[in-house]
This record gives sequence, C-alpha cells and structure tokens, in this order.
Amino acid sequence: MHDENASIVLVDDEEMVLTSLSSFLTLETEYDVHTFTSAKEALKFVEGNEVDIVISDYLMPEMDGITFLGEVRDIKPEVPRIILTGYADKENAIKAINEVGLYQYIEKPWDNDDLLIILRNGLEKQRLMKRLQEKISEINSAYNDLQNIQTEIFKTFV
Amino acid sequence: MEQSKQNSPSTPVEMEATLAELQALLEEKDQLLMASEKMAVLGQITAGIAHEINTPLGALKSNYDLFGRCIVKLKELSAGSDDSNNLKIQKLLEKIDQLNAVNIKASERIVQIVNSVRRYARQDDADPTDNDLIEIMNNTLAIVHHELKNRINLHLEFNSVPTVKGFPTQLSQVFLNILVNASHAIEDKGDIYVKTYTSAQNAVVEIRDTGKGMSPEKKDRIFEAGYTTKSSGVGMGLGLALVNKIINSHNGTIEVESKEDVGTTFRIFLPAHQ
Ligand SMILES: Nc1ncnc2c1ncn2[C@@H]1O[C@H](COP(=O)(O)OP(=O)(O)O)[C@@H](O)[C@H]1O
Ligand SMILES: [Mg+2]
Repeated sequence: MHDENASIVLVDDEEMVLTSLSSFLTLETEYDVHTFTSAKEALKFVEGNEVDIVISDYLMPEMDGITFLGEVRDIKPEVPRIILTGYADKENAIKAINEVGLYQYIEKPWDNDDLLIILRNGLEKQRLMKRLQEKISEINSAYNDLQNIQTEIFKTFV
Repeated sequence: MEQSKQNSPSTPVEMEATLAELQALLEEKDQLLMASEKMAVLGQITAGIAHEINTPLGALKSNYDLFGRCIVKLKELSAGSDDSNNLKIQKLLEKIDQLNAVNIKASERIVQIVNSVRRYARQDDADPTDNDLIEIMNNTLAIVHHELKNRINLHLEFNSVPTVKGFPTQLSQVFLNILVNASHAIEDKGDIYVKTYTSAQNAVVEIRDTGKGMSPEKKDRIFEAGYTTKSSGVGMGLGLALVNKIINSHNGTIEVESKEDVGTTFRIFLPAHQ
C-alpha cells in the first residue's frame, strides 16, 4: 500500500495519550510514528525530516496546538494537520480549522477506528496533492522545453 | 409570602416594621444572588473537570480497544494447535476478553456521565430557547442516576407536553434540586415518580417521593432561602429558594403536597410557548 511507511508526527503534553495513540498505530498500521511531548521539539523534527501528517493536542503548556500547527504550515504547507481537542475548546478548534487551515479535528475521548479513517483520508489527500504538484512541475518543465524549442526555431529562421 | 402594606407607614413603630420587612427582603435577595453566583462558579468548575477527565478517559478508552485488538491477534496465533498448554492459554484469553468487554462498557458509561455533566454545566443563558421538558428531565435524570440507583426505584411516565420558553440549564436545575431533595427524604429504600402531562395550556412536571414527608409548618417554610433541616455540609437551604426563583422567572407556578411518613409531591406548571 502506498501509505504503508507514512511518517506520522504526534504531539501531546500527556505521555499517556502518546503511548495510547502510538501503540494503536504500530499495532494496526505500518506507519512510522514519531511522538513528542514538546511542540518545539516536534517543530525541529518537522523541519529536518520527511513528514506526511501531523496530529497535535490543543491545550499544551509551552505552545498551544493551533500555534504549533500554524508553524508547521509555514514550514511544510502541503502536510495535513489534525488537532485533538477536549470538548471545552471545540469551538476554538473549529474556528482555528478555518484560520490555520487544519485538515480535521478529533475530539477526546477519541474512537480508534474513526482516527484511522481520518488518518488514511489525510494521507490520501496528501498523496494526491503531491501527485498534483508533480504534474504541475512536469507541465511547467514541458512548457519551458517548448519555449526553448520555439526560440531555437526562431533563431534558425531569423 | 407577605403582602407589603398599601398605605404608607405613619407612626415610627410602623416605619420600623416596614424597614425591618424591607431589610429581610433585601437579605433574601442577597442570599439568592449569592446562591446563583455559586451555581455559576460551580458550573464553570464542573465544565472544567469534565474537560480534564477527557484526556485520561481518552487514553483508557483507546487502550481497552487496543487490548481487544491484541486479544483477537493472540487468539489467532494460539488457534492452530490444541496441545494442553495452548488450550489453557485460549481459556485465559477468553477470560481477559470478557473482562475487557466490561472495561469497554464501563468507560462508555463514564463517557456518558461526563457528557451529561457537560451538558448540564453549559452556561448558555444568553437568549431563552424553546425547550422540551422531557428531554431536559432525561438529561437531569442521567446526572442523578448514580445517586438513586440500588436505593430508589424511579418510575417515569412521560406524557407529551408543549414546549416551554426559557433557559434549559435553569430548568434542569429545578428538576435536579427537587430530585435531590426527594432522594434525601427517602431514608432507606423508596420510590420516586416522575410524570409529565398537559393541563390547561401548561406543561406540568410532577415529582413525587415516598420519603419522610413534612408537617404543614415545615412545608410553609421550605421556599425560604436558608431554611434547611439538614446537617451542614448536606444542605444549605438554598435549593428550593432557587427553584422558586427560576419558576417565577419562567412565569410558572409550583405547588407542594406533603404528608409526614407518606411522602411529598412537587408539581410545576410552566406556560406553553405560543
Ligand atoms: N421531598 C422532600 N421531602 C421532605 N422534605 C423536603 C423535601 N424537599 C425539601 N424538603 C425540606 O425543605 C428543606 C429545604 O430544602 P432546600 O431548599 O432544597 O434546601 P436543602 O436541601 O439544602 O436543605 C429541606 O431541608 C427539607 O427539610
Ligand atoms: Mg435541596
């Protein structure tokens, strides 16, 4: 499968949530799961590595999830970003989905099957975006080639 | 409730009496204000706690689901062979699976409790809404369920009622206070009957208990702010004062019937929303 070795970044200040999520993903998928209790550490990782999807908790002490995911967007705009929220901040989370361009939000307590569907869809979207990007650059270089040929032809005739 | 005098006081003694009356009224208002502020703070705290619970609850719920998935895989692994060790392992796995199913149910239950607390604690008193009293009662019952069960039999008879204009959190508070009092009034085991019906353009909610009841003297005082017969820590005597205030602000009325050692019935009438 195409997203077999997808690289997933999980951020939550609660170790127990990370353990639970990463155990689930390693049990049910072949994803490469990277967990962080610190948003800053996670940012460093995102900067230096291939990443296919980022999931972050909303309420965290050093940097909230929306800010964190906003910075992830600045570094890697094509990577789908998902926020995990408790109920009380659901409204803020929904607002942020529009502001920071989040792909999805997941409510705590989450359902593992739902989580997996959201992840798969996110990866699929990410894959399609990548393909689209590739096609666009293919078209661009073809167009450039065409222009070069055109100038060559021009030169030979003038 | 006392009527204030129509004609203005003329003698100093009369003036003194009127002043005292006003003073008492003011104190009562203060207490009600304090009570509702307390409820608002309590609501916020409760909502916060419910929110905090969701993180560990999320981990628990997910882990039980994971155990289930691991057990399925382990069962598959131990299936093929039937030597005696493997049979023992299969039996143990079966046990773990059963216990885990209970854990999953238990955590689902916590999810439901947190949800109903959250719903109840929501501070949404911006604009009055159109309310289904049966739905509000059901949400309220979910909150008191754990307090009643095993000790008190709950009998529900929900006949259709018109919708009522008002604030769902406040209406829920009314039902909650009366239900809690009813459960306090039942010393050992007993019954609570909750009934809804329509009467003369009113939605009526009736809550009857088979508790210890009240003497007529006591019954006359229960809506006073600060009146309580309970030990401190159990009651502050504000429950029914708040009930009265909320019902008034919803243009409703409340009546009480009670008989010592037999039980008490509260009946709430709320006008149908046109
Ligand atoms: N269902 C009931 N049965 C018997 N007594 C009741 C009942 N409901 C209320 N009371 C009496 O009314 C008093 C005032 O109730 P309330 O205003 O809710 O204050 P609190 O419950 O804090 O005492 C109670 O202390 C109790 O004596
Ligand atoms: Mg009470």
